[in-house]
Amino acid sequence: MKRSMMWLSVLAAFGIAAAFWLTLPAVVNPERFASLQGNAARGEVVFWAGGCASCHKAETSDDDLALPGGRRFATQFGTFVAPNISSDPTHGIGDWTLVEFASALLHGTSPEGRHYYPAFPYTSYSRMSDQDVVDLRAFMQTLPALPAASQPHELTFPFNVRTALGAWKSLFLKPAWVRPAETPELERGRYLVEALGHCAECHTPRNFLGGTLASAWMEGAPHPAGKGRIPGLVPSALDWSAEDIAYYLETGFTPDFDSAGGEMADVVATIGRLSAEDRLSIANYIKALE
Amino acid sequence: MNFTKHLALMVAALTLAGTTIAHAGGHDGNPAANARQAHMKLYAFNLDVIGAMAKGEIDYNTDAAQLTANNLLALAMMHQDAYWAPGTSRTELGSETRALPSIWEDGSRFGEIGGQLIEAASQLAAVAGEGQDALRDAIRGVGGACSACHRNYRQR
Repeated sequence: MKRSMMWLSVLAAFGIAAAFWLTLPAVVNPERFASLQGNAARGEVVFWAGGCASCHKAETSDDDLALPGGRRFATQFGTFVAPNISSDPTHGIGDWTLVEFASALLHGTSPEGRHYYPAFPYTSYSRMSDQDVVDLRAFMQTLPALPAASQPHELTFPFNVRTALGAWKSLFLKPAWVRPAETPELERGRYLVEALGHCAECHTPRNFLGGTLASAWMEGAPHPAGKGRIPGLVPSALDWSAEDIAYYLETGFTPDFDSAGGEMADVVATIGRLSAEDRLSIANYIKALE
Repeated sequence: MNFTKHLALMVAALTLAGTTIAHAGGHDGNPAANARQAHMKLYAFNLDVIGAMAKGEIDYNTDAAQLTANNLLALAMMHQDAYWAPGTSRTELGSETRALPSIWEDGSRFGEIGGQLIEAASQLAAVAGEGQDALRDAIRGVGGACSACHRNYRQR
């Protein structure tokens, strides 16, 4: 009896240790990136498609190249505060190595080896190509260094326990594509929507743990701040033509010439800088939703 | 969309705007909010004409593009202080308006963004006669100004 209890305790301790070890923050293998050269011009396209500025620019700023952070995002888990991702070596990401930068985007792991909260949409960015990661870094290094100190998130227990995010990631960090893409154009659209543009992070509802529901992909969701609803993009919710969607992403104008407001105004400000072909690819992906 | 359809739309929208203005003169709703919404409808109506040309839904026409762009600039430059009167935000008027009280608070960039719209509309009017591509490029600036204001000062 005594002996079996002892064995049970050992087993339990081993299980907890194993779970902890299995959910430790992951980093990329440095060799994977060793031979890649960054191209800042191509990285600029990745930057606009990725919408970094939508969250990381200052609260009331129109300057999409100044990324001091500080914007606050109220959610049911507490308030997230966007950090400084300017090229400042102390307060921003200027002194990050390529491996640290790639680990942040692809695994949601900080240079200190901690889990990031998925308010930072690495759940989408984990689908990025290695070359795009390297190019994006090359472009972001050209952006101004801003000395604003990043502010801590304001989360309540148990959401303030970062180690638990390891388990969260094992459940919800799935880099596989969600939708099929039969043509190169649809593939490009899927890449822009599911990886860089991270559209589903807002347009898809989440479960009570904050994981997006692939079964309700792009069906629209309650606004995380509590008021209002983020519209669905599936055909039953949106009957615009592909050209209408592309034009909305270019100018912010709906087919009735109302104009984008709220968070979508920030999205148009960045996505609108993509090529007409890329915007149409996004529109065609949306039209192919079910 | 062909030009006749747009003409029909124009007549319909003018009727609608006329109705709204008639309401503003009567006792239905807040006159300032009504006037603002009528003004927005006139923007949308003119943008529809010019946007259809930019998108290639109707043929580009130099005169129509120029005249419509002139309308947008005239609208943007109208003196509107009276119908953006303090005390007519969503806080006071409820669902009748989506105008947020922050329009009238200290540090508001409302006026500055209005200036951006005038600048973008001037640019549009300057190039509207130069062809579809120039028109299309310049509309993006106007859209940016519209969204900048709606992002910060219109209820979602």
